[in-house]
Amino acid sequence: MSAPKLVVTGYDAICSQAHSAAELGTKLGSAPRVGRRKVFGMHECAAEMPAYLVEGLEPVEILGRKGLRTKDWATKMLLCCLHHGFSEALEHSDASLRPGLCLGTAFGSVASIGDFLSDSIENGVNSVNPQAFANTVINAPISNGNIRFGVKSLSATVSTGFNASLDAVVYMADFLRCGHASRAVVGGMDEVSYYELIGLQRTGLLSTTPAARPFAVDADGVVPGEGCGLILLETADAAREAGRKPVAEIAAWCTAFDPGLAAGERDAGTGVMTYVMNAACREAGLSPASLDLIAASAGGHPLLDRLEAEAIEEVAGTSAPVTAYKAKLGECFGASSALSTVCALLDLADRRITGVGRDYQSRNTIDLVTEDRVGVDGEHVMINAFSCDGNCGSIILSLSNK
Amino acid sequence: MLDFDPGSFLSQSETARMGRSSQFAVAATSMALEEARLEPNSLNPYRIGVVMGTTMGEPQILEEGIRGIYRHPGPEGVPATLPRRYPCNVISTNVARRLGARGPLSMIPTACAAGNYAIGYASDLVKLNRADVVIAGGSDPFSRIAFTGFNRLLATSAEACRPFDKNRDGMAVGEGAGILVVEELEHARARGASVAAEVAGYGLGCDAFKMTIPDPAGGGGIEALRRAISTSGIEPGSIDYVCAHGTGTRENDKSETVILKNVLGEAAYTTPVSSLKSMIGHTMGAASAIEAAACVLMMRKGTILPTINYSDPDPECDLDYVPNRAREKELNIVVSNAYAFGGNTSSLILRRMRGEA
Repeated sequence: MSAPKLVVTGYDAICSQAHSAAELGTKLGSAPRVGRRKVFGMHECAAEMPAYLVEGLEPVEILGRKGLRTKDWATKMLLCCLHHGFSEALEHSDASLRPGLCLGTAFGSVASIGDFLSDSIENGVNSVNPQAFANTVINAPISNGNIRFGVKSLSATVSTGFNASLDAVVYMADFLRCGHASRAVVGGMDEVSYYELIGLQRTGLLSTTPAARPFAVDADGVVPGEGCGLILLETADAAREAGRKPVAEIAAWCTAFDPGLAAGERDAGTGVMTYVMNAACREAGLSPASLDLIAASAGGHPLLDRLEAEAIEEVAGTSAPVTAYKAKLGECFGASSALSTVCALLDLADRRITGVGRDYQSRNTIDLVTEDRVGVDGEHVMINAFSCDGNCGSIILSLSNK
Repeated sequence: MLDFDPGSFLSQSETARMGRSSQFAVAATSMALEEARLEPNSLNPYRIGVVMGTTMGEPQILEEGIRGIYRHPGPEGVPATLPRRYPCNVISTNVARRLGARGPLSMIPTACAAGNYAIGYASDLVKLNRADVVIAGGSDPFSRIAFTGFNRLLATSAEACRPFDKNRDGMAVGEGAGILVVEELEHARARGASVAAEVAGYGLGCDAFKMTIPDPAGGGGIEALRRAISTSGIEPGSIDYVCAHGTGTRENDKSETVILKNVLGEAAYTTPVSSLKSMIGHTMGAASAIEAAACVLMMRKGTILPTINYSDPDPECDLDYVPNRAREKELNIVVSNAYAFGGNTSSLILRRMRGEA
């Protein structure tokens, strides 16, 4: 089977820092915007919770009123990102040329599921709004995208925890490589909800600090965030036919599973992490030392951050600069690696690397970028996603203007 | 599944840390590996993948957590061990942990079409040489959410699920898991496996119509079936049997009939079509995986399972639905359709491997 070259021809994002990729490009280096909220849907937390929330986004202003009444926040956020970033491709007059849609999400519609259940428990099963049931399936957000834009070629959802958007990109890359389609908008989305916060709190994953601190020597957990990151992925031939200029090529990818991490073993090693990073480099024909940037998965999880630092040190030593965009955007769960991808593309296009900041003591065995670096002439970036449920993945993007 | 005993397949500690959906999936995996005579420990763990599908994931875990919140407001009401058991990817994770698999792992929760998506992706991973063996399928448990939701949508039958019947009035919600061992052919031959069937091809599409109602014109289903036929390299007239999505709702069965007529043409009237959901209910994300396993068995035995509870023909559903009695027929190429909330559509084509099963 011949392998078509896969290119990124567009990207967009909504996150706490910005409501579009263009805005994010100017605000990525600014101080992170951590919000606080106590009331989430039907429930209220005991105290205000710090979270990297998407605030000020008005879906009705962007999408109009029609069709939004019964949609949940996750769906609205996704529809706004699709509308803002990909309208031209999604509204192509020839429906057969519209890209398919594929979304990664860790929790999907958990807020809708939780509220639906809460409603049925509080008020009885006969009181629940049947239209709300449609929001409870995990594939609801992206399916609403298909309906809104009339996309009939593909609708898919991938849910592999915090790795979901990286795995969605991998799924679509494999899908395109097999010739099932020639283009898709793919990425990730997750929202902050009461149910996630309770879950993270009970499992000890929430940080006691109000700000994300990737690779902190005393990292103690994550600070949740929300958002949506999407890319337009096409075969090079399809991009050419559509007249779209490639931004980057997806040069290689590898995913694997670490049963030790999934079991929560404190002595889990770096074996699977180094395996996926090395395999991706090998497939891309690059030595790890030639990577111009590693966008790390780190977000403040003590075990994962330590292991990732050790794995990067083992694979690339101190020759590749490392940053972690979760320092700016929080732990956006299934959206994280898609948002990291957008941030890395923005950084390298602007010849800079956004640092994690100098507000805390970070690990020094790797070349962790703390203060923003400018004048960076980068071409190859590795995006990592390593999660506590054992999923490990690395993707390598090579900029197309080099 | 009132008689499901997780203890037959899982240790006490495994049972305790898994939700019902994971328990089903691990149990079905154990049986599938036994059927395939495959010992995972004999393989390179990085070459074993796991791809699962689901509609609801582990909904009872969330329900238990929310009931806890109502009993004791705040996080303390939720047992600390509960949240890690909820996200739907724990199903594939639990299967991978049981096998010691370290290869590609995915969870594709595309509602009631999820099993077909998972099997399709598994075959892609093998074709792309990313894995030698992929455990693929779907799992879903009975849940308050699904039962409440489908009832409130008036989509459940008052008495019995009777797909394609004139008096059909809805589905019967079910639960279960289906698992296939998808393996590269030469890899299977080299270890002397009995090859059950070939994943000849698959196709996906989307109605892009309504969240809970299929396109009456069958748009997404037509696209999916056409693509499946194209990737399989077969002729529509060569299909020996269609394992229908056949939920027993008025809208689905009518739309699926339109799809089959559109794609198969005149052959639609002579190709047997049946709905296993008339017998085992609608098992949501597990449905198409269970149905794929059933298709393999039907090919092996040369028997088509019927659509039961069928009594009155519907003029709008005028195909051969194999009513009420199983039928003997040599099956070489079968199609399994699966459609879902959100308009996700899929068709899987399986081909009998002559002389190998």
